[in-house]
Amino acid sequence: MTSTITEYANNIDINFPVPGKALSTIKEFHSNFNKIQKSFTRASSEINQLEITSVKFTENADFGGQIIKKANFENQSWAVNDIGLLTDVITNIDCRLGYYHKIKIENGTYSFNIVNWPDNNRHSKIRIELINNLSTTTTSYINFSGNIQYIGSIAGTLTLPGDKSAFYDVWTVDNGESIFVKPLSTTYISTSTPSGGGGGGGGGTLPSITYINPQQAGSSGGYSMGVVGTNFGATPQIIVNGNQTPTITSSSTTEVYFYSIAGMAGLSHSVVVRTAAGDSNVVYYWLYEDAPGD
Amino acid sequence: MPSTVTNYSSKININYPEVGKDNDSQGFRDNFYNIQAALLVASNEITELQENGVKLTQENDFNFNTIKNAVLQNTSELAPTTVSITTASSYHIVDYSAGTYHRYNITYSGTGTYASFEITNWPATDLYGSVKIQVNPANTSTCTFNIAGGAVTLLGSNSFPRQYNQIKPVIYEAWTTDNGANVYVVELTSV
Repeated sequence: MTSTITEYANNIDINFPVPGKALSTIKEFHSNFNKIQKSFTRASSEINQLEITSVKFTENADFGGQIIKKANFENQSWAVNDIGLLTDVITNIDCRLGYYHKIKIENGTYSFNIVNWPDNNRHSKIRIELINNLSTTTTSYINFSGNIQYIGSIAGTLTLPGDKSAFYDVWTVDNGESIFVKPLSTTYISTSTPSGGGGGGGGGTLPSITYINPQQAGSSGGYSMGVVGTNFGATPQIIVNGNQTPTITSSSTTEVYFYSIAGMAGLSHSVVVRTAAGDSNVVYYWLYEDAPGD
Repeated sequence: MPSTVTNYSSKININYPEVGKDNDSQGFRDNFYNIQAALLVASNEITELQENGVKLTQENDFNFNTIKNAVLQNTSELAPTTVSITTASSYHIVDYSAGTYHRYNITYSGTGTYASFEITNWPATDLYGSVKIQVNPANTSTCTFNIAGGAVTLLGSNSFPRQYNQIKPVIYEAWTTDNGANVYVVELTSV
């Protein structure tokens, strides 16, 4: 935007009054002072606009989604969002609050829901540090909600030695429609069977899902989803996306069938089998139906 | 901060001198004073913008102020010139403030090298900083690498110092959120 101060400033008669010439009219003074004042008003307005919308080295800058292009970065850092100790199963992580999110956990079940991703066609990545808040080893059940695709191997069970941390990179390019999760290390991620007690586990052998078996005939004549595996126990629960419990149509110690959940068709969801011993490994697949018995 | 130019410019009497009145010269002086004062304010405000505003044509130092809700396009991070490791045993300062990708070529012709890296000038506590270190071995003779300084935790089943017998690059990513008191490292390449 070009300054428009000259619209008035150019019309100031800098030769007025003319020497040796009678002052023709007082109006000419008025006219000059008027143009001077209008020039200042315009200058003030333009400076104002610059002060409001300019980026300053001395202040934080909110670009409102505008693009910074062709810049080289040197000695930069990223904001840290310290969420603290979790007390709820489901935690929203607001990616607007920082790149790096520190979360303290203890024994428990935790489901993370990343919110406020940038618009579609923007690559956005956050890093999550899960810190064991206790000085003793904890066992937790970790899940990310949404259409999650894991990069590398991950177990739903996270065993952390005292005061240690586990790290995950989480990113999307489509406003969170598809979310990728990459554990940065398997150091503290245990695939071994905990001996019970932690995170709702009650001892015994953990259930294990071997494969999925979709579209089995349901009792109402429609279709349900199924998982096949071992150690499902007498009364297994199905947990979808960390916190939803669909209706189970039939179960045995090696198979569980359940109805899909209304509104969840067409996206990949995490599914675990939960028994008195604890949670199984996590599997992901598409739910085919929109409502029970469809 | 809004402009204060109009504090003075609004006092310019645009109707001076007044018709049919004995206009003394003070009225002119008042007007000229307000014109000059308005110009000085405008000058100061423009200077402030020139000194502290971001320029598209030169380097910009944000002094760790926050850039928020920005979309980055076609941006890059500084990678200082590759350093040659010319001796069997060496110690290297990895200066975070100089760039976030540091490269080292082992040019030592003997067998067996040991190189230790210490990352300095991390961002302040409660800011996240991340740096990558790439070491290019010259051959498959044994290379031993260590990252020192603060409490360094190498994620995974290995620990520092790490030994390699490979010609492909070894790349680490290291980060901290507490000014380097605790540094976490992942190995981005597998041996």
